[in-house]
Amino acid sequence: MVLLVTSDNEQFQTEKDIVERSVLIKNMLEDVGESDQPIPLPNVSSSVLKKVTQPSTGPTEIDVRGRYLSTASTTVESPSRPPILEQSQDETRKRTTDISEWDQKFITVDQEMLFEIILAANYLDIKSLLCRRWLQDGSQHDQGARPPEEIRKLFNIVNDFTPEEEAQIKKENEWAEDR
Amino acid sequence: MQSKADIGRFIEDSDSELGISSLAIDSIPIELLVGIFKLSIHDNTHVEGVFRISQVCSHWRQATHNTPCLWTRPLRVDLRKGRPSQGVYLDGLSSWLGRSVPLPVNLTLLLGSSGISERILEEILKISPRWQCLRLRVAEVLWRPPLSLASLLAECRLDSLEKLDLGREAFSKDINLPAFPHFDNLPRLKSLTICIESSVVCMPWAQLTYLRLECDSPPDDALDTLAQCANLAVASIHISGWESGELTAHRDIITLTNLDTLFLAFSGLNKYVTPFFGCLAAPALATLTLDFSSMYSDMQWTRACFVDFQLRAPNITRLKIYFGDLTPEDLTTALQHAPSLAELELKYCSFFDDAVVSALYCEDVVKPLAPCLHYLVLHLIPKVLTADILAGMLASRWWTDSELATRLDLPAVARWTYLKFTGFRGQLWDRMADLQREGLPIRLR
Repeated sequence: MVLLVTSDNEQFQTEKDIVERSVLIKNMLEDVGESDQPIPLPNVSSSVLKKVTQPSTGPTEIDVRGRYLSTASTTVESPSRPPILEQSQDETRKRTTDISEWDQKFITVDQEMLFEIILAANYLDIKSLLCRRWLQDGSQHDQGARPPEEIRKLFNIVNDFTPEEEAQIKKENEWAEDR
Repeated sequence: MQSKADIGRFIEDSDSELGISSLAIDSIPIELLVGIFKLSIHDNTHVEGVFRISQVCSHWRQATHNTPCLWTRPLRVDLRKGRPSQGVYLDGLSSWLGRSVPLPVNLTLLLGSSGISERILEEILKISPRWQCLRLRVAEVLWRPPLSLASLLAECRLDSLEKLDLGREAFSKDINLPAFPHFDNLPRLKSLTICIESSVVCMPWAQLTYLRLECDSPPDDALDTLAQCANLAVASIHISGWESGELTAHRDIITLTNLDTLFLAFSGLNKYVTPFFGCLAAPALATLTLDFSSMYSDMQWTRACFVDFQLRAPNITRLKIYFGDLTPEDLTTALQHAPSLAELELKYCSFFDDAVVSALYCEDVVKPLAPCLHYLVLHLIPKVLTADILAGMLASRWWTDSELATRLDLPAVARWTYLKFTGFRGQLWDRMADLQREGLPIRLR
């Protein structure tokens, strides 16, 4: 087990093979070797770490290892997997239809939390597991990018294109459809 | 054991400059934003993907437009004439290609009998020094691209080209261009797909590591070509057979020192196939696939010729044979001379009969055939197998973990790791299902 300490000084106990999905933590553990000492994560708050690593009420057929990050004093069991575990592409493919629903719940966070999660995922070096969720369209089998309107809504981004840019975009889309 | 101070120091050293207090989307570092963009785009839908992201807001548009690598994924360009909206297509293509400057690009050119749009071709030729991978694809069966196109390509600067696929069909003849052009401007070329009609084709053969060769002329031309490809690692050769069992002229042995994988497909009416092996040495060859599915005559197999080849290719671990008129003795002899053979895959091979199966039976007192064999795939073998004989042979090469643990010596053969049988029916299916239940790693389809 590995003990993580967040920026707001909360301790999280978790199994080594789970936290090692974060390249940052994996490198740390390799460099310092076996240790009982807690690993501080000064750039990650407890609320973000919980969100990144704790399951929500999701689809039930997903692999249940029953092991994921939990606070040191509590052991929580849930049938769904935290994002930190979502490593295998094969597994991801198998679960394509579930991910959409899971994502919908997972991304239902306020803007502040959303950006913190993205930055924390980058800091922990699990961005390949986490960041792309935001821009990908979970409803598509191949998980292509979401339509611009959806991305704007998700990130609260204003469409600030000039009429000239809009005209250019229209042409681009005509070409993309025609090619 | 390390101290907390050690861990803390490590973290300080490895910390990035990222803070997590900024809340606006604009505050995400551009490198991270672009990294997310890259991860969000898939090869199959990359055009739509990158457009969608670049059409969110001006900040993201600027970020994508300033990131050439987002615009370099494989692009299919329709070169055919007669498109109703050619202006829009050309503008869109031009913009797309412009955004990937200065990076190499990967293009597939779609051709057809309506002819080639000169304006689109011009746009493509303009960036020839940036082509990294170029493929020609024909939209219609039996139509061949004009030799003039090959000539134009050969005249280009092709500084970055690593992979050139000129298609599997020969180019159509041109009165003004009687011969295939010389490609002597390909300093980085490693992979080539080409159909030849003679052995006089100027290519940087010696630098190739991958070759797919379709030979529309006598098979000796393929041998002449291979003789120039000293560095091949993977070859896929498609040739006709020979008219007789002997080569037309004496030929030195062609030694392909690095050849690891050879796919050899024969087609047509000429029935002699083993002359190919008579002049080839491939000491590193690991995978050999022989495909006789497009032969229209009873093939002739000279056992001794193939055995000689096997002595010059002693490291074959994977052998795949599709169709063909070998005899059971031919196959047994080939297996006898493949000491490293670990994987065998046969498709529609009626010569894999009870006699071969019996030869593979492992008895402690007899030196076993193919002792390393642990992987066997049989696709749709016609009714030449007796269920009990096959089951007996499979069981003779299988031990449970506990049986292995209690043995005093190692078995003379490897234990099966993978068995796949397709097209089995009736008793064969039932017996295999029995073995499956006994723990053998059998997959039945």
